[in-house]
Amino acid sequence: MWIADLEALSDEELVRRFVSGGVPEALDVLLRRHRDRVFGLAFRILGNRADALDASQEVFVGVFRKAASFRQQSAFTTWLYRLTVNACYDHARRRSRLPVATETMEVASPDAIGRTDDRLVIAGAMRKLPFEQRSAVVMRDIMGLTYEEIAAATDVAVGTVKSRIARGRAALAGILAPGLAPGLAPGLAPGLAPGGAPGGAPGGAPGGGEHADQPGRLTRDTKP
Amino acid sequence: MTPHADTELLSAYLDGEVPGSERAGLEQHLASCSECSAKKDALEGVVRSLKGLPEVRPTGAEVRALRQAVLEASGPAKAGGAARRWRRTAGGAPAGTVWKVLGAAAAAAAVLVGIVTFAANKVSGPPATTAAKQAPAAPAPSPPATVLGSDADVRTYARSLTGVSTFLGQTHAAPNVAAAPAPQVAPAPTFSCCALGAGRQDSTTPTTTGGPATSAKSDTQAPSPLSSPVTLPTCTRAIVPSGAAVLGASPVTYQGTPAWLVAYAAPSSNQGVLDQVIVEVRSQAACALLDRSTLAP
Repeated sequence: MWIADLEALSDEELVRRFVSGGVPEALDVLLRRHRDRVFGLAFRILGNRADALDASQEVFVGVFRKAASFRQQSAFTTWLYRLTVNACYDHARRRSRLPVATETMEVASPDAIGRTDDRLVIAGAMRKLPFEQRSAVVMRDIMGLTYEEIAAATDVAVGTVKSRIARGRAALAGILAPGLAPGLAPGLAPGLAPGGAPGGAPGGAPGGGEHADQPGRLTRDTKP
Repeated sequence: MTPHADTELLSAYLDGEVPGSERAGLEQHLASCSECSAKKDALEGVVRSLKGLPEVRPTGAEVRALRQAVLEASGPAKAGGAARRWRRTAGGAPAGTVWKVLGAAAAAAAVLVGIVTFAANKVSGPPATTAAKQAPAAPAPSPPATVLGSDADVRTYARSLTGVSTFLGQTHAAPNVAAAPAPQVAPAPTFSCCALGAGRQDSTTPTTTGGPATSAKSDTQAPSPLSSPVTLPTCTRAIVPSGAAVLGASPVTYQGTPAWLVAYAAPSSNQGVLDQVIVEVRSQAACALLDRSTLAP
């Protein structure tokens, strides 16, 4: 089968061709369509390429393994986001076992940073957010998903998504520009306490931090 | 005066998620309340910063590694069995197929870039004095730093540092002996947070931050471009926690950014046994974390 013909097929059909039809080219088409968003989302949540690549691998392997359980109730892309967030959750949890001492260095002081690469500063600040807030903010502000899409991908109510995004943004504002609106993130004093900020584990400790949402934030398995 | 708007409302407002009737009232309030208006601006600033981040895509090598891994795990020929066999190790170190593939790619890259540059660094030895003389006159010629593009590169390169390979070899030989490497490892200086501003004072008197192997010492004192706001010794002192020991350090270029690579031995639990190597890549500009890996024996 020609690649050009495969390009016209739906994601679901590509998965089926690959799994049962013995059409390895279907994988290439599917990867080309989705690898950037999966890797990009994982990178912004986990903060490094190695983990993002690992998570991406889990996602695409998961796509073919769980293909039978995907029932078009949600868009394929949303399902992919869901697999990605879950893979990232696993990684973040594993990473959280590492020592955290150096992470308090992340954002020395806003004045010192002013002249360095803003992207690094933002990445450092993102790492301090609890997993749920970070992934919600990434999906909204970096990936451009709607509240509804984020709710579907993380399996929570839209109201919860709204709250996570607000808390995440407020915490980031408190870290990046503490003087601007002091009332925004009272939990994060300017300069950051030496003990580290909430959820400051490498890659983020899931559920850490004082603004943790209700338990069971992320479903471990991904039944569509 | 209307009551202040809470963060959630302001945040939703920025996303256009506040219904029309409520929105009019909110806008009216924002026009007259500087406090809420400042909050909104701060949130808006965060959103703008995040939207301004560049899109991160997998590199060609990463895409190939990804494809290969998926093919191996779930290709039609191996459906079922291979998929079930595909599993990460419980320890958490990246051990998936991607790593085998990328490892090969990294090794190839190391042959081309890493080893050559590393060898060049080694041959030109500890040219601290030479560099110190040259640097002020020359218009900051970029140092011959090892070029690293990914986490895998960092791991490969870090393992090639003498101090690191020696340490990993030792702990591997005697994994259960508490503090086995301790006699040779000088304790790192006390962790002091956020004193980056002091970097300039240190730039003229680079001090050794302690290391077990001679090569680590010379690496720690390796020439640093004087234009850097944060010197390698300063950055090293700042990031290495107390109880850890520096194994090696070197100037590198990480994804195009001039950086310091610092490898130190640290305990993985509160037992205090130095049983793993943390490798950090820090920007030379501000000692900001660019990459972080853990190497286990």
